[in-house]
This record gives sequence, C-alpha cells and structure tokens, in this order.
Amino acid sequence: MNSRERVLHRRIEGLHCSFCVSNIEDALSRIEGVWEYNVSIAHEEIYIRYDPDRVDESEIEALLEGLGYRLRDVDESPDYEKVYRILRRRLLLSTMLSLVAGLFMLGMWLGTLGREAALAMGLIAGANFLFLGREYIAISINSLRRGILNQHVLMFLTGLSGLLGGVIGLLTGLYPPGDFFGVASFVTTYHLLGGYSASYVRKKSEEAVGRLLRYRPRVVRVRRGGAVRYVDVEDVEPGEVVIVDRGESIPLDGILLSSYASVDESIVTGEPLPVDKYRGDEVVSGSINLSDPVEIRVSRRYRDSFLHRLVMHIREARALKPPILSLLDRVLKRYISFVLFTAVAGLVLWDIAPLILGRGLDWVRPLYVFMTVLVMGYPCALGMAIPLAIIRGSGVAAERGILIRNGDSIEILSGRPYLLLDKTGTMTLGRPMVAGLGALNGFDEEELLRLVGCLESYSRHPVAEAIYGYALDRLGEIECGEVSDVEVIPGMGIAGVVDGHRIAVGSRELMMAMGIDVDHPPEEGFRTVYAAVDGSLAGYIHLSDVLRDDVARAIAELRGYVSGVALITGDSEENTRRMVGGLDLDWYMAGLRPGEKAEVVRGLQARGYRVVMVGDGFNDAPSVTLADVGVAFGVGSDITAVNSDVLIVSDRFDRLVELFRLSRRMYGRTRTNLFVAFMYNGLGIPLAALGLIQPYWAMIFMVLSVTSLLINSMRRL
Amino acid sequence: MRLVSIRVGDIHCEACAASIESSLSSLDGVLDIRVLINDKRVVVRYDPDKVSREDLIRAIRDLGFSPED
Repeated sequence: MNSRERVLHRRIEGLHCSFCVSNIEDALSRIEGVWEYNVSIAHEEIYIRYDPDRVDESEIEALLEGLGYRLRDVDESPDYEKVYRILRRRLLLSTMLSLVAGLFMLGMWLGTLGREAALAMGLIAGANFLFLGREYIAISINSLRRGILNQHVLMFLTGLSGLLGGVIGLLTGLYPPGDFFGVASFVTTYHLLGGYSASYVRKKSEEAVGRLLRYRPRVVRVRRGGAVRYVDVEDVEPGEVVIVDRGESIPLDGILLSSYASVDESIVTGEPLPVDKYRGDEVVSGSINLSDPVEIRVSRRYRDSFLHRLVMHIREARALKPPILSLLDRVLKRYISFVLFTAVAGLVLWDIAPLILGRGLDWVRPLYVFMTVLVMGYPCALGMAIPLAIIRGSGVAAERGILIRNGDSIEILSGRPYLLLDKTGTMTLGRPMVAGLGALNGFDEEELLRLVGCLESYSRHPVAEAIYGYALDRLGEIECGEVSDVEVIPGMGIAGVVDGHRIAVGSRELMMAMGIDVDHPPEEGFRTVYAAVDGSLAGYIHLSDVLRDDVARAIAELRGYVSGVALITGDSEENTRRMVGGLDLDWYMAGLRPGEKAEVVRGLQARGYRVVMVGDGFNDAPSVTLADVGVAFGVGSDITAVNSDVLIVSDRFDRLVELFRLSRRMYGRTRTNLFVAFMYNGLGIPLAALGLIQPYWAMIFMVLSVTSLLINSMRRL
Repeated sequence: MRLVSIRVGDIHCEACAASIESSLSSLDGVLDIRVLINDKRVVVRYDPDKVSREDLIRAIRDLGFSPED
C-alpha cells in the first residue's frame, strides 16, 4: 500500500435504494484525492481509498452526512429486531386509523354522515401520513433533494396530494374531501405494510444465521520471565513464546518449539487433513492444534499475522461487494417519471382546453385533475410485491435446506452469472475416505480389516475414522476380543495388541521404524496407510477425499443457468487435476490462498461478470463475501456463513441446482407481482388525466391490486 | 469386546453429539463412544456380555433421535 494512502471504511445508514449508490459515487467522483470507492447495499458499508494530503477524512464524512447518510463504526451491527418491532407498532396504529377512516368514508357514501366526518378524516389522514409516515417523508425529501425517484417519493407525492386535495375540498367545497383524505390515510398504511414486510424478510434471515460474529482480539498464554501470563494477542512481541492447548487455534504466526504437532491448516488451504509439524517448522495463525499442548516462538506481530490479514481481507470484501440496480428501482424510475409527466400534462390539458373552447381560465378543474393523477400514483401493492415473492419462495427453499438471506440474490442468480466453486468441502466431502485396500503376503482381507478397524477405533485422527468407518460398513459389527497396549505414535500411526495379535497401522515411516520392510509402492494422489500383523506387512489402504455423489450431473445441469463454471482451490495442482479432471469445468486454478481467491472474483467482476462463489471454509470467506452472490455450503465456518447471501445446509451438492432453479422461478414471480402491482394504477393514471375517473377510484385500485397480488402469490411456486 | 456402528440420520451438531455421548456412557458395559457428525453415525465399543446393540439403539431413540436398526 502506498504510504500516502488512507482507507475510510464505515457502516453507512440510510441507503434506501440502489440509486443511492450511484448518487454517492457521483458525489465522491468529484472530490479531488479520492482514488477508489465502493458502496455495498447488501452489507450497508462504504469503502474509500484516498490521499490524505489532498483531502481530509472529515471532509469526506461531511459530504456523505450532508447527503443524508449516517456513518457508523464497521463493527456496529444493525439491530434488525428493533427496526422490525418499531415498524410493526407503526403498522398496527396506522391500520387502525385507516380502518376508522374507511368506516367514516362508508358512512359518507351512504349519506348517514355529513361534512363533520370529512373533518375527522382529515385529522386521521394528517396523523397517519404526517406522524406515522414521518420517517418516509424525511427519506423522500432527502431523495428528492438528491434527484432520486424511489417508492418513498411516490408515497410522499400521493399522500401529500391526498392531504392537500382534502384540505382544499374542506375549505372550498369544490373537491370531495373525504375521498382525498381517505387516499392519504390508506397510502400511508400500505407503505408501512411494505416496509414491515421487507423488514420481516431481513429479520428472519438474520435469525436463521444467528448472531453476527465479532472479531475481537483474544487473550493468549505467553511465557514471560519464567511464568505464564495471559496477554492480549495484540501485545505479544515477535520472539516471545506462546502456549497453545489441544483444540485451540494458534493465535500468531511462529515457529514450533515443541518436538511435534498435528495441525489443521484448513484456514490456509481449505484442506481438512491434519498436517504434521516438527520442531522448527512454521505454523500459521488460525490453524488448530490437534495434538498435545505445544509452544510456539512468535515470528510476527498480530497485525502482520496471517489471521489478521485474512480478517482484513474479509472486511474489505464486505465493502467492495458490487452494487446491484434492482429491478424495482429500474421500474420505479420510469414509472415515477410517467406519473409526474401525466400529472403535468393533465394540468396543462385542462388549462388549455377551456381556453380553446373560449370559456376562460379556470383553476379548479386542472388542479383537481393534477391531484387526482398523483393520488392514483401510488401502487399500494408495490411494497408487498417483492417481499411476498421472496417470503413464499424462501419458504420453499428452506424446506430443501437453502436459506436465502439476501433477496437481491435471486435477480443475479437468474441472470446467467459466472459460477466459481471451491473444491474441498464443497464439491468433495472434505474428509478422507477409503478409496481402496489390499491384503498382502497371504492375509485375508476381511480378517485384516477386523483387526485394523478395532485398533483404529482408539484414534481420533480423520484417517483412522475413515478406516474404522469403512470396516464397520463392510463387516457390520466387529468382534474385537481383547485389546491392550494401544499406543498412538504422533504423525505416524497407531500400534497395539488386538485379539492376541500385534498390530501396527500407519505410515511407511512407522513400518520402517518397526523394522518392517515395505515393498509395496504408494499410489500417486492417495494417502497410503500400511498395516502390519505380528511383525510382517499384511496390507495397505488408500485414502482420498472424494467428490460428492451428484457433482458431475449437477455441474451439467448448472450449465443451463450460468455463463461459465470454474473451480478455485487451495489444494495442489496435482490433486486438483486428479479429482476434477473428468468434470465439465471451463477452467480451474489450484494452490490459491484466501486473498488470491478473492482476487479471482474481483478479476471476473472487473470483466463485467456477476459472480456467484460457492465455498465452505474460513479460507473461502473473502471470496464468498466479495462475490455478487456468496453461497456458503454447510456451516463449516461461521464467518463464511455470516457473510454469505445464501446458506446451504445440506450435504447434497445438487441443492445448488435447486437454488438456481428456485431463483429463476422466484424472479419470475417477482416480475409478475410487480406487473400486477403497477397495472391498475398504470391504467388509472391516464384516465385520471383525462378526467374520466375520480379520487375514490384510487381506493378501488388499492383493493383490486392487493387482492390480485395476493392471489398471484398464492400460486404454487 | 465388540465394535458397532449405528447410523443416526438426525445428528446435526455438537450438542446432539454431546447428549448421545453422555447418555450412552451411563450404560454399564459401554467402553467408548465416538459420534461422527459428518458421517451421521455413532461408533460404540462395548462389552457384549453386559449390554446389547439393541440397548444402545434404544438409548439413542429415547433421546429423540432416529437411529437405523
């Protein structure tokens, strides 16, 4: 990083539609000294790289706050539950007000209530629109100031016209005040219902994943002055010695001082098979010590460590996630222009027509038409169109173990994105399985398996678990007889006496250490384990991670939904070629570190692709977070799951096909829902401009469009 | 001594594993229990003179899981 470069990274509140993004980017692009910026709607974060010599942090912050956005610390997580509860309370109040307004209106139509009722309705509409809808009014005014036309602006225009039309009607008796006030009240309620539905979707998805993870520095045990002290991880200096217990993650990069450690390094490579480390070997922070407590000499400070860099990669990725101009915002932009244009056209038409007919200028009729058009403008079903499609669709998806956390994902998934897959744990089971075995020197295969299975059941190594699991699958119950003198030899294997026989299972090194000659060669691409019975070689077992059952077929099917499919993995070139060589992939890249995976995602995005990244482990977290749609396969890594847009909680790879299939259908449903929501009002607006329909029609449209929308959403997905 | 594997399709988390482990370990004759979450199976080393495979399956079922016979 250039020394004359700073990064401003904040959570940003007040992003109400995808236009906000282009608006902020417009403003930033005009500031001298700002090099790069990105606004992520999905994560509500902003990321700015700038030159501190030319522009001040406070200047940038002032600009953003001047645009009406609030900046917060990145670690501050939004409280969706609280927002939901506030919206629910407002919706309930607003619904009650609208119901009372509806009763008054009915009374006026039936003639049982007089003009006093109109006054009461005015008060109700005022309270509903100005008080309960105040937040949306503020957003609309902010949006209008920035030249953004979104659904809040639409609600504002309709509500305001309703209120003004009603007041004019009350004062002059020229307009029907009850109808105007009624519209203002109902529009507010429907808008609150839309906001409530959206917040419900958001809250549900957050609940499904649980609490957001916080990256807090931890306390580590350090040897200082002959004693062991608990020290904040950020205060440990290079050269100091830290102690790591069995099962703990290694807090800092360093050199192993103990003679041996078995370490899970999946955080680096995604490979779950433990790696053997000996005195003097490098160990990486974030990997997990699977053996007895070890001592490590720290080689780097926490802020330079692998773990910290990875966390920073993930944080950056959150803010760099590309924005999407959602379908709704695209439609709204045109629709609102259409409403405004028609309203003005109506105004002009009704001004000019009497002039042409020689009846002189009249302000009552044109203004009435103008306001009737605006009153027609708000499609009440709008706020529910997308939430309803998503609630329905994500319910179906959840039954199949697919949790869709970000509704915008379905649009991207339906638009032939580029699909990137992680290998280990995503396409494969992510643990070793017995791929083959053979008995040597005249031993019986099943008898060998019996003895080896019994002995291996004493080890907790993934290789041992695979072997005794396989033995049990093949033999059913295993009769072991007496087992004694079991000894686990770290990094090599296990030995003991089973049913009167001396058994050893482990690496070639173990056999050699026991004086057993191994004349059987290991097979390339497999981890080979040997077994000795009573001092002579009795057999071998090949182990390997294996592809999930349905991968080949699923990839063939996925081709119909994506514009490309490729593999990025931390595993070696050789293993990767052997395992996925037969699959229909466009390309693959092996040996990638977590940050490099994210670079591949960025590279594709820079070439204009929408990228879907599917991964499982901590090492996939930066790339999953950065992708347009990040899919976490399983809940192997909390951090990956928390930062994903879609979470698949199933062992089946073909759930991915299901995700694409359902997304297409949900997107289709979203489109018809939007069409239904806009249809009635779209027809009503020109009719209102021609003076053919009255404000109460707005309420008829409300009922029609909401009913149609509900019916459309009930259909099977 | 005998080694047996019981498939339990609805083991999903460490908490399920812990409850199965603590329940089985209270049975007389059970020597060691391994719950393999990824594999969705429970491997038990036991003394067939004191406890039977059926006892083990019953104990798991009593916890509300659905072991395969």
